[in-house]
Amino acid sequence: MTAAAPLLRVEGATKRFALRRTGLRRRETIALDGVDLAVAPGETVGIVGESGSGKSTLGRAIVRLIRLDAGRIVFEGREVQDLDDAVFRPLRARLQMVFQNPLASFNPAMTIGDALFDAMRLVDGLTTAEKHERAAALLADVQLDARFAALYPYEVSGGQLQRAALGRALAPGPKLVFLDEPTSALDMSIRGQVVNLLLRLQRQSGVAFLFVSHDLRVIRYCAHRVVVLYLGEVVETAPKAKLFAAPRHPYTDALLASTRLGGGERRLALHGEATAEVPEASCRLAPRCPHALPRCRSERQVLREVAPGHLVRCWRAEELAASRALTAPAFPTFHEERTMT
Amino acid sequence: MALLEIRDLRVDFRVGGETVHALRGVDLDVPERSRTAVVGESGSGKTVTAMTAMRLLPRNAPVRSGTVRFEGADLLALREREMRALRGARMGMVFQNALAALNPVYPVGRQIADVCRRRTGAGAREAWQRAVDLLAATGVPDAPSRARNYPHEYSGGMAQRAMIAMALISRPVLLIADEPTSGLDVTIQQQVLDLIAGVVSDLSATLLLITHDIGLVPRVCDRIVVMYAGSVMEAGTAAEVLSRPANPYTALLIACFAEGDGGEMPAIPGRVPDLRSEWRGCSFAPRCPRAGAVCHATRPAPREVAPDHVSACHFS
Repeated sequence: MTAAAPLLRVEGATKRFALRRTGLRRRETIALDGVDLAVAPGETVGIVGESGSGKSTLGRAIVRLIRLDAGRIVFEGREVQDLDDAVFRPLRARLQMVFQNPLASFNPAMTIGDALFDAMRLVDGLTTAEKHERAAALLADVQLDARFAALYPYEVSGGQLQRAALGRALAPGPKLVFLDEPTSALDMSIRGQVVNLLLRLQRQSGVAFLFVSHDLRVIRYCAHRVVVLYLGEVVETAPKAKLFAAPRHPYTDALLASTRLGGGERRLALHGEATAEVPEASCRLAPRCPHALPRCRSERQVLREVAPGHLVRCWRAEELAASRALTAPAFPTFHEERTMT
Repeated sequence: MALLEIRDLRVDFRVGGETVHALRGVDLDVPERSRTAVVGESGSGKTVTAMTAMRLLPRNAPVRSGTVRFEGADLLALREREMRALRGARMGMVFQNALAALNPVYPVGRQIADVCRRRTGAGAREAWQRAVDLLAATGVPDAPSRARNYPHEYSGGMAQRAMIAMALISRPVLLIADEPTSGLDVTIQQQVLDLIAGVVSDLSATLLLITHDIGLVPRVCDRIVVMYAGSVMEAGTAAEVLSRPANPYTALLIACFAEGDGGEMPAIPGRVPDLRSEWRGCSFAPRCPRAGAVCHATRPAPREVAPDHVSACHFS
């Protein structure tokens, strides 16, 4: 995947938000701190992280809803942040998005068919008849039958509406769709319906996805590569198979353990909560990390390559992997006796 | 007899001239000192069941029939005054959005102290000290100063700890936790679950955990009740039901939570039925790969498929 020229390249993305003042000191929080990212044509990059990781800020910057303080966002070879709206508009057709709550992202006064039709405003040179025809084809693509065109958003289920949202995003023929927690509002039994649809549409059209989710199960099915964010920094990035089979960063490992059915192994639980108030010269995870040593608190960690395409921000990555402290346990059984503390 | 015993519970919601049949004859037992999970997706009736047990249903949701017994007493027959004496005292509760459950204009410690004064008749100073102790016991760091903070200064995880602290004041025998970790970060979820399991064990109390996440069940609970579209599909010990599900719905739901990579992600085709309508057959029949003619015609009665393991399916 890395061989192709990237469709989207993010370099050194940095964004600070001002918090309240305490006395004369202005307090700031770093939402993004030098994040690099690339998405190749036809690729799905999964971004995972918890609240405060910066994943939403990153997504909003990419679709130009906010401006970075520093860093570049290059889409199809052009820095998009400096473009006039008029120049950016044609690019918008090729860079689409789908949000978490489908009901909030549809105009309640428009039928689903009208919403699909409307999304083709961005495409030049289509006649009204062609747009209608295309809207019908899109509904079929997202596996909704033709009667859905006449329905209003409140008349359909969350899963169906999210599929319609996907159809709308694909209407102008995008090269990249930014998906912000597209399955989080859906019941577990229907998340798979949306994920399988994404996989199928990608096979058909070669569209690339940038997929933000805190649900690692979903990421595992659809991402080619995964980027793990913690407090505004990339802590690990690797091809999906490597990341899930052998996570090298303690944070990634804790994330994987906490979503595993049955709880997996408990010994790697993180302490406390994410706090942005970590000294400049410390690893940001150090206050919570079960493997932290004094060196972690006195040395800012750098992202370094530990295997081809596998980058980790932890100086103990090899050591921890070698001691098998970070290896994934086998699928748990439900028979084992659990002891509670 | 079980600590909480629900029989043939039917609850309707009247919404804008229409009737939503939320519970369609629910039977449920929460044995004393068990940790029972009620698992279901949107519209399954899991929260309505818990709300009925607490008698916290809104006015537009009358109980159509059924009984709810707690420590042998028929809760639905109690006067509101008697119910209030039980609620928060013998029965504690913790809700999903803890930050919304706290009053934004008072410090967290004061809210806990107020409940403490009301419940135990403690004096102001004593109640405050108890609030600080409870916050510390539920893992709020630096409790004496955090007690003076307002809810907006708390994270979701900390607010949930404060809610748990509040629920512990009168040492309840039954703790009802409705999606206590939804909306929390996954690394925090485990901490809150551990805390809940810990306090339930310290109090020798019984836990009723309402959750959509079947993955949480083996971490905390020893019993499970699976609900779908207003009825109980399967119930038994967590170990048995999760490893040998007898009901197709349970089996498919477990598959949706299993890990895998590559290929299709497991899903259940179709969608939940419209709860405004009524049907004669099994609620899950329209989505069930095993459904036959009998499933569409007759609602399956819950039946014991193994000792202490009940499933409502014609083919179990």
